[in-house]
Amino acid sequence: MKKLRVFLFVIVSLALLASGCTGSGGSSGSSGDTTKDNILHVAKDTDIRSLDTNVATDGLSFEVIETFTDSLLDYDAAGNLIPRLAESWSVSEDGLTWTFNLRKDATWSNGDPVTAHDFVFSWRRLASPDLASDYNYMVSTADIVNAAGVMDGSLPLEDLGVEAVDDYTLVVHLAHSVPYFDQLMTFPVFNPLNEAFVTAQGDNYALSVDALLSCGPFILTEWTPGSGWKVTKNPDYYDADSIKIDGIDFILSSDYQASALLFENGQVDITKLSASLVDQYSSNPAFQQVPDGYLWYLSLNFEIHPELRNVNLRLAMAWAIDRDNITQNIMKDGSYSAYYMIPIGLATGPDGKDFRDGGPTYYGYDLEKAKEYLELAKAELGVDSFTFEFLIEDSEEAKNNAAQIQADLAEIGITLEIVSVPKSERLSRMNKSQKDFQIGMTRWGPDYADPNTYLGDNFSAANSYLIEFWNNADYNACVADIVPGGALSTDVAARWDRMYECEAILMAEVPIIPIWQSGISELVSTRVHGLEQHVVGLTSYRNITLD
Amino acid sequence: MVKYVLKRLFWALVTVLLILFILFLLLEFMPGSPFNEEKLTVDQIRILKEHYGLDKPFFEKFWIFLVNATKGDFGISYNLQKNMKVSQIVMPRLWVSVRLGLQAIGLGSVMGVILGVISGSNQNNWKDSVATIMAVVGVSIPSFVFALTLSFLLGYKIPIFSMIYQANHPFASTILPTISLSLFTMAQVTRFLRTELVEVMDSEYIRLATVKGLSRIKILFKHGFRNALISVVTIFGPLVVNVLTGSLVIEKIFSIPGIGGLLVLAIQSSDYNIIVMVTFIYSVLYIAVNLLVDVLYGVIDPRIRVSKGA
Repeated sequence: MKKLRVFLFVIVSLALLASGCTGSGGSSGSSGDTTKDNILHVAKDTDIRSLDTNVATDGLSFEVIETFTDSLLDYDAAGNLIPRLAESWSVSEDGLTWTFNLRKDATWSNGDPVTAHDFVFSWRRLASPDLASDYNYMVSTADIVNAAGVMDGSLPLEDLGVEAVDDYTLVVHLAHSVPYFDQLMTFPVFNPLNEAFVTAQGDNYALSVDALLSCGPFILTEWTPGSGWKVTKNPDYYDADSIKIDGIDFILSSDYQASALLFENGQVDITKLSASLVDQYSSNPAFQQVPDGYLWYLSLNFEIHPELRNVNLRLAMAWAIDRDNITQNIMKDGSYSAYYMIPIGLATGPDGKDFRDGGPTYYGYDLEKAKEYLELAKAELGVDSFTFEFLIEDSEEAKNNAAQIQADLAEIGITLEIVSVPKSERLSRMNKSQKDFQIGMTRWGPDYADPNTYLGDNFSAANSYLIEFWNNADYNACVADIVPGGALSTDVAARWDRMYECEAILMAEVPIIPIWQSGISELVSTRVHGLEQHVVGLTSYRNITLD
Repeated sequence: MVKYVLKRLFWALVTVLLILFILFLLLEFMPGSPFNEEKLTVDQIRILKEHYGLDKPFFEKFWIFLVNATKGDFGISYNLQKNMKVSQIVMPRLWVSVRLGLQAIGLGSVMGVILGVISGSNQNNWKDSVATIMAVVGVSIPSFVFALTLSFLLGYKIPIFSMIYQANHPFASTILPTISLSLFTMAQVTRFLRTELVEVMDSEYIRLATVKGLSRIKILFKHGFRNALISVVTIFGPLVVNVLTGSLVIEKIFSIPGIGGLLVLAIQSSDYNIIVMVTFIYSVLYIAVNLLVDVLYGVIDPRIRVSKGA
């Protein structure tokens, strides 16, 4: 009897404790306030997928790799190219030979110097069919001599056009002049690797923190998959004096609500916000929105639905979608309405301005205009109604936006039947070998800071069946001028102007229909200064100072 | 008894093999592929499939898997932790889930037994009502509501406990998820134990014991409790496996690197080897726990042992 009373007492007091939301301070318990240390605390929503510079494919993995290794070149806060492991660099007049003079004071964390041979080894490994890297196409994007032959195994690795003239001189031979080759050198797949170490580790290389070498501002000291990772300042880094923080503690928090509460409790300095939390935090001084490079667009399958070849039908759809409603009222995460092809913040021109800064926007939201175009299309095609299957992935974001697009098009009498499938299935069905969709919602992220990553790589007849369907002579000629080896590949200013023309030709006929450019909403503590976030380059933590 | 267990073990093995076969068949028909980045060319996808052995015919793939699995090699991950051995990815997470599960079951069953006994032996008075209300509330509240409430109140408002999992404090940082997960176990155990205990306490041999003048405690624990336990053991099997295999929702709320979330991630990114290994573990756990429960019946109640013919 007495025991029972004690038990009930405990239960009741626990309940009272739980409901007594006093909220004033409270003891810190197991989770301390971290605002006093010189360590940056970052909440992340996904885990590292690979620490191998040649194997990684996702943005987060590259962001982590970039904390503990250096690339040849890098971006400063404003997005200008600056030297890192390369002290200086030059390109031959024909644009085919690039020479990088490496700094002599860079070392690996085992004491070995970082040399030109480390780059040659890494690039050959990247291209090697034995590694089967998802990202090896960057070697062909860079148009390095013999890239295709080395990648399919018909040529030996040694034939790849990269050589170490001496320990500190790296020479790269290109098949064509690549106007943005220097931009590519900021991309971590091209970072160096210490051959002796990588070979000794074999299959275990980069699978744990002990199987890694560092040559960057930080050293990866801890990684608990599923839970988080830590980097600490690299005392032997050549530029260690400029690194002002002792390290970064990344914690994995899969729930944005929990991350936001951790931020409020001072346990986290930086965290991303989901759309549902934006209203709650938009007046917080720590709230920020930054553009991201992903462009979401509608893919149209001309093959299955030949009506889509009708330009007026496509224009009707382009004018009927209220993108501002989608970005402002549904997504609310800082995404931009895309009335254009080349994203905001992607590339800086010879005049030092962003491509979109001064660049035009095409079409808009105008139901009357959309209806006019649709009437023209109906007359031309002799069809009274249009019904399409609309393939999307089953994410919350895609489903909400697709429902809005469906409603918008219904306004002018075009019926979309939404088919929502897992992302990997959507990608398979929209792949070149399947083309099993009618209208699909998909995206493209940039690989480097040049409009060619969209115009030449994704939206050219050579690489995309969507553009091949359309096969517009003016557009094809335009793209031919701006791609590597094209007529304008060495004339920076003329090439820049020509890219506006390419975009204008494409947008006048919308063979694909841009919807939105993604953005990121986040909380960045006011004690954090010097966080550098780029649309193309990776988030850089090296210049951060903490109050 | 030994013969009975051996027979059950044999059928367990057949069941696992059958499950794996069906799983492989399902994966074969699953749309999507681990290699479908927008930027991959058709040639690259072919090279990747060859590299990871996904271009082989179905039966060859299944056979290679079986041979390697008997050596404890479940292959490597294609996506989630690229090129890492699947066992290296799954085992630490399994341990996290099992550890949390055991904590939750421990707490839940102790609390459940206490409440169940209080409730069953004090039928229809206020103690019974309090315990019953707690049990009903425990069954009715979805675990995520309870978990979010706990996290908000005891993690954020009064920061006594950690809101998210910390690998270096596996116990301290799993107190809230343990309580959240134990709620359902507690409620179930309470309800079943009460019902059974009420019935047992009403039976004739208990009345005889009372007439013989045995003490209340002795009647309750020596004669009543053991007989009532059989109902709890019945529900305990599935309950244990449910909790051990991880609760997706609880894992998400507290960012626990458990096996439930891993399976979902693996399915989303078509990381076949991880899907297979996790499913294999789930199946083995289910079969093992059910086997254990059947054996436990016999230990608790000799009548069942006899009727099973061992």
